[in-house]
Amino acid sequence: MKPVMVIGGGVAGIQAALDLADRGISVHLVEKDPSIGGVMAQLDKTLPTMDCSICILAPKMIECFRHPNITIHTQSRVKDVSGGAGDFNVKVLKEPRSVDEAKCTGCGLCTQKCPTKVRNEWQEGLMDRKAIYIMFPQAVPLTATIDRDHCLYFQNGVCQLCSKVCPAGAIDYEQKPEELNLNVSSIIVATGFQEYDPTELKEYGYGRFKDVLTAMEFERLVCASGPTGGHLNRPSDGKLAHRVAFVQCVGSRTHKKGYPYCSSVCCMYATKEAVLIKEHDPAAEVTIFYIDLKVFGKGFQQFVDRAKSHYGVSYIRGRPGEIRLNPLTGGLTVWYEDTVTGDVSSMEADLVVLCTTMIARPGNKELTRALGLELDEWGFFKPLNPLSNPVETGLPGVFLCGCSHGPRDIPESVAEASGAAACAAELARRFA
Amino acid sequence: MKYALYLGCTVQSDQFGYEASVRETLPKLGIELVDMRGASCCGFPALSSVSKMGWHYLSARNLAIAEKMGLDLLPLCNGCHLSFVETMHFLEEDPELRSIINGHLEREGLRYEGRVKVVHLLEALHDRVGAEVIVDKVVKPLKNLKIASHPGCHAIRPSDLQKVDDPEDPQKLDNLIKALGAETFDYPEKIDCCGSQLAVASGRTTLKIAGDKLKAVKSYGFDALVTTCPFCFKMYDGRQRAIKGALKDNSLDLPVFYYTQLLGLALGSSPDRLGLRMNMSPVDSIVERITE
Amino acid sequence: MSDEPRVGVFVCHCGINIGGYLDVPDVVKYAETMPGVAYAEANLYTCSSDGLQKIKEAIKKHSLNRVVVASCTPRTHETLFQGACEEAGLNKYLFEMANIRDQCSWVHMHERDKATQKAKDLVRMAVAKARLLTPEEEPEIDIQPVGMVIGGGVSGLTAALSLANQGFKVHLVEREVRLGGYLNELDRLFPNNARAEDVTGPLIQQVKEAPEITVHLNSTVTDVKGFIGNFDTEVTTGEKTQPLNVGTIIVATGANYLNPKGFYGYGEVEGIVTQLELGGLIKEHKVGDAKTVVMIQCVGARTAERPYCSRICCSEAMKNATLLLEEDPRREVHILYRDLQTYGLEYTALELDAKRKGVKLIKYEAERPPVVTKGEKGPVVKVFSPLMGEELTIEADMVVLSAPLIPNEDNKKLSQLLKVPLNQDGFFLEAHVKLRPLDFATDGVYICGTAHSPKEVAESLAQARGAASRAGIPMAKGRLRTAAITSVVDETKCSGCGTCIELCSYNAITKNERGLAQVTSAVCKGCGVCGASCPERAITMRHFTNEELEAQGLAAIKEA
Repeated sequence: MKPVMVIGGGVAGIQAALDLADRGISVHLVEKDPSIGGVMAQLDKTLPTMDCSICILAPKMIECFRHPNITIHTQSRVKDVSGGAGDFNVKVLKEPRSVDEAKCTGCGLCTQKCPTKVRNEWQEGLMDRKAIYIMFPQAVPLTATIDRDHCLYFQNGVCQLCSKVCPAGAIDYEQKPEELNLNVSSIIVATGFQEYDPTELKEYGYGRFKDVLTAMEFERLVCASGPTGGHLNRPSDGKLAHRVAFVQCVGSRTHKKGYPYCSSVCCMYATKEAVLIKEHDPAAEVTIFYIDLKVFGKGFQQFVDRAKSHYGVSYIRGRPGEIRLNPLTGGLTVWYEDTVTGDVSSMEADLVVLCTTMIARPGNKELTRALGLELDEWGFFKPLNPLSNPVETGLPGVFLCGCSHGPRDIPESVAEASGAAACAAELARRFA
Repeated sequence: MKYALYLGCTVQSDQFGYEASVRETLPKLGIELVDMRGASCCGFPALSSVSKMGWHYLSARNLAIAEKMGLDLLPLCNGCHLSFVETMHFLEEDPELRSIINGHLEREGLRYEGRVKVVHLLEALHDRVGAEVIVDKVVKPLKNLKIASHPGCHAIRPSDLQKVDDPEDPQKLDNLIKALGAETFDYPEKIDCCGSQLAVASGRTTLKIAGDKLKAVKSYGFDALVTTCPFCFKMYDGRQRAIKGALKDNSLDLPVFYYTQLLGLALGSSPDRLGLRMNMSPVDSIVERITE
Repeated sequence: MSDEPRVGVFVCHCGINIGGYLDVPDVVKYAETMPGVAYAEANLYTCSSDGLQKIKEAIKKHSLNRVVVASCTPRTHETLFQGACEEAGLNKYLFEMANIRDQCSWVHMHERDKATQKAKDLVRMAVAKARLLTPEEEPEIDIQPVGMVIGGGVSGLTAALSLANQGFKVHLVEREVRLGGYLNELDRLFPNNARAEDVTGPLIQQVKEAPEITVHLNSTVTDVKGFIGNFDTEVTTGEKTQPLNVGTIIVATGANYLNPKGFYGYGEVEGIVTQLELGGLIKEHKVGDAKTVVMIQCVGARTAERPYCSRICCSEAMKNATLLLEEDPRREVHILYRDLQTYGLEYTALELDAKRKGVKLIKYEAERPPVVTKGEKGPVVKVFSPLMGEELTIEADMVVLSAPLIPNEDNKKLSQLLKVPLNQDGFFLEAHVKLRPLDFATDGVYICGTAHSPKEVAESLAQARGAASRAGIPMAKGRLRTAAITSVVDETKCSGCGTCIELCSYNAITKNERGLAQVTSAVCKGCGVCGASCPERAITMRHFTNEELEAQGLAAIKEA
């Protein structure tokens, strides 16, 4: 049978790939980053079981890597698609790592010696990486890659320290972009989401106040593999944060700056993060400012009940109007109205976490041009029918799963990934 | 640069220090100010609350006078600036209103075409002259002085139209303060209102609002407060004694200046030319520090 | 190959990850002194193709019959090294790993001497076990390419069709006289107002036409024996019972709707209906005169007795409110809610549309629920609105209660038959909430739809397709290689106490005809709980035998 292409190596793409590979269908897993794993690899813990996120994801990532039926193409993007169901011709452009994947053992020596520091996007900018780097410790493939835009050799023709120290002789500055032409029977789009940038909501001070963070930044801060080893140190002065406020619906459920839809998962991940703080520091004061508490998932209401009764997390119904910074103390003040009691009040906080909306990735536009798919007004892919065909698209042979078509949580994304895999398997059989 | 200088009501009736300092400093920065004959109140805020037509007529009339002079308009008051900008917008959107008003203006030989630009003092100094030019001309830098910026509501709110500065993070007045060699920094209450608009409805509330801000500014270690709006200035400076009484806090002394007054001192002008004797807040010690 | 163990020890530098923090050559030298070790060497990267080649060569050259690799974690590399052993002709279960990286060099980075000693200890333990290892076989079982789907609602129909499209025969077992399940009682479905019959109709038609699918109406599953690949089931239709042998089973039995008797005067005060009943009234245009409609959310849900949120009620209320207002824009429709559970793109759009059409939303707090009494002209609703700070009284023509979906009454029996668990709320409990939402811990059984938890139709359909993918995997493979690490019962020691049977999460142990424990190797996951808890020590694990573990434990505390 012809192979299937899965675009996107996050948890949904990984699940779809494994489902197909396990039943004997080959898979080309195309991922734009140097490693698969997606957003789930960046999270600290997952709710409601509070499993370490990378710990439960990494075995699946490794399974993909070692699976005889899966070929992972990292630093790769789909450029062009022609043909139709059962017979797609896909042009994939693979950006060069400047490192020979067959030789590199992931020992990390090059990253230690490289003199150039660059903002680490995977760590949400909370710490630096080097120009030659391994995306994160559990990266799959565990292979270094050179960021040519910041590498001294590629920019100025000097240095080359990495090639001098690499014990495996894996550095290859001559590597060129590679174009792959792949023929597949179907395509599964699993490109995920990205976080809304709350800089334009100036009243929250994101970007001006160091201790106002987005949820992803918080996940990295509280994670043991993050910049502080998992300690809740304020980015401004390094002191431990004892009073934390969560602001829900940042960039969502609004008709002004942002989007009108509800991002589905934020109430629950804020609860999870609040519980994480309480586990680190039972005396911490944690307050979640919400509008409607979304507890519709399996076990979610019970999780929130436990957060309230057992961990002592406070919930206040009211969208904060403004966050202010005291220049003398460095402390933050959150101004809000408790809509249930009617009181207008303020809360002193050491750290404020803005729970931002899931938005569509800008890459969707490029992909949709290549594929000929439809995007909705928010930039998400459109399913064929949101009721009766949720994982199919208007194009036969192209399927969707995960956050590529709207905000949803991990269990839903994983279930949909299996659903898309079933569609691909059915089609593969029809065209075998 | 040449502007039609629009003084408005409050400046002409009691804020002489503002007018004096503007006339003294702006020419030193290359701005020629031309007086307007027959200019009147802009209609804001009193008339605008009861008669939309009256308000727009008055504002349009002043704009038409500037138009006849062939100059852009430089109002000194935040409120006047907002009034002009909003009137221009409404007249653009509503051709019928415009023709009615032009009908009235015709009687004076005036016509509103909407060709005039309204430039707030902050815009003129920050965007048109530029902080670097000011830095060059400073002879008496305001060393070791912490000055709090109070841009005032109507420079940044409420309208989307032609905002003078960013509504949540205004920095223009701050930059101008730094250009004088003084220190300034953001503080939480910076964009809080002075409360003067409430004076008619609830005097006590007004005093409390203004007093809370003065208290906060003092607590951060600022030596003085600076503004560009005569309403705000009148509140913080003219009514500081009343504020102290209302808050029962006699230690609440804070020097309050118009920006152009500090600008004048930094450019080397004598305090007499800047109307500083008319400030009712305790400015003398600061003036001494700068001029010695 | 001689019986005398000849252990080869390969100690990895792992670049600097291990070699930078402890003395690898010293560990090699130490290994050479251990009894049973015929050969030891150090590698820079044992996992590299070069390193693997060295293992294979050493096995041949030194007639090694056991291999120990002291390097990183078996989680990532065990299969790799086992593969190398197999390629050299050695059974892969004669291989043992010592983790001297994650469990040694990485956590003792600043104590070189102590780390080296610990590495030696770990290698000594591994060698002690390796000496006792015996070759194991991995039995293969056949997988019947026949699936069973229990439940003929929209989830079951979709799952059955997908399986059929994948080329498998399917038995679709439905307890009612017709297919369609709960959607037979619904009219308009959100988010796009499609008619339920337009969704189920085509599915039922396709199922009936699919030659691979055999539909059993009026039928229930009355017995299940066996394990993945070979479930021996019994399906009873009326008086007849027939045996059906299937490879996999998908549970798609759906859920029920709570009858809100006892809540807000339902059944006592006139003019009070459920959302389900309202749907039917709207369909038949029987709402007519009702001008003031009050809907109450969270009726019998999100309470101490039933803590879960039923997910769909807020969207359903929005949908019905929109239909009511479209029918007659002069109506007043109030929704009394606690937290609006409209989420995502589609359901937020539903909420916004309802708001635009004029629905009035009134929040109430759980501690102060609304009160419904009988008024002169109809039900009267009193509710305290915290946002307004006052109590509102609404004289309604109709009150609509949003009650939750509750577990199907058959769940308990089915869970016992299939040996799959239920959660605290009575819905089926999946293998892992996050990463295995459609599987059960018991191999070969899968779940989808509202049997899992309350969900929208679209979500059920996606899950149904997903469950069909999961079930299709073993059936597509046709044969399943089961692990060799399974438990073995020594019948001479077994007393038949049944402790192991109770403790096994995978239901892999049963009592045989002699009343003694018997392990179904195909289902056993090798977790070892049975072996650890057997009071007679009658159970041992292959590849982790009691002797091997004892040798390893003793080696930890004393020199070989």
